[in-house]
Amino acid sequence: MTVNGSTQEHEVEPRLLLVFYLREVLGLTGTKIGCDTTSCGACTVLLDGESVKSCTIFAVQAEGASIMTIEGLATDGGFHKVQQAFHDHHGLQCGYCTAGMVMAVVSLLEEQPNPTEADVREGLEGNLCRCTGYHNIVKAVLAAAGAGGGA
Amino acid sequence: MTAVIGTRYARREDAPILTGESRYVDDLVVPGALHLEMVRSPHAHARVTSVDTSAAAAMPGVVAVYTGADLAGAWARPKPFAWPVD
Repeated sequence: MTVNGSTQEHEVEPRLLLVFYLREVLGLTGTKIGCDTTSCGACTVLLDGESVKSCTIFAVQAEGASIMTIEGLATDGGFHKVQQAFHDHHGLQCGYCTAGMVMAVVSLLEEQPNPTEADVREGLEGNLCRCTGYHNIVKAVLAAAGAGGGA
Repeated sequence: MTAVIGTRYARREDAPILTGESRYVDDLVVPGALHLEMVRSPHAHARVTSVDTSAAAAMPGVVAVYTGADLAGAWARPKPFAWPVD
């Protein structure tokens, strides 16, 4: 598979979850583990452009796929518009949900470039945040959507 | 100092969090680190009559097993952090 643009090839046990492959084999610890139940979304990454919970996919299922993690989002040393919006609108406090939340938002905005607030809240149902109360996250997403095309 | 209060400030810690660079405890790799597992009572209300750690201690890779009695001398230092074991 390719991860953040780099080709990766490893022999792994069939039971190895993608999130552990990313964190422990590749050392990309930006993707977090926040639950054991596929509930929290902290592990969200993009697999062939679609947001997936990497805790619920085996690494072997991602063979041949193109994965993007939070580490792969920024370009040329600059923030992706979603990262910038989260900073501008105080969309993070402890930051533990942020990596997964941002990846989910990137995917959401690709599917729905002009979401309403209700669309955002529903679209991010799979990502839990214990700190912010979601209010500023929603603001950040709407701002990133309003920022228009381009990273 | 009064100029600071009530003024909006951008957070300085956002950038490494947003790029995935910042490390939380579970992200740290400490070579040779041991892993601690807490074993708690499966009963909501019960009297512990004995604890037998021999099977656990015999498992491969287990470095040590501690019960409350083993740590009785350490409860009160530097601050009490648990109920003392009689």
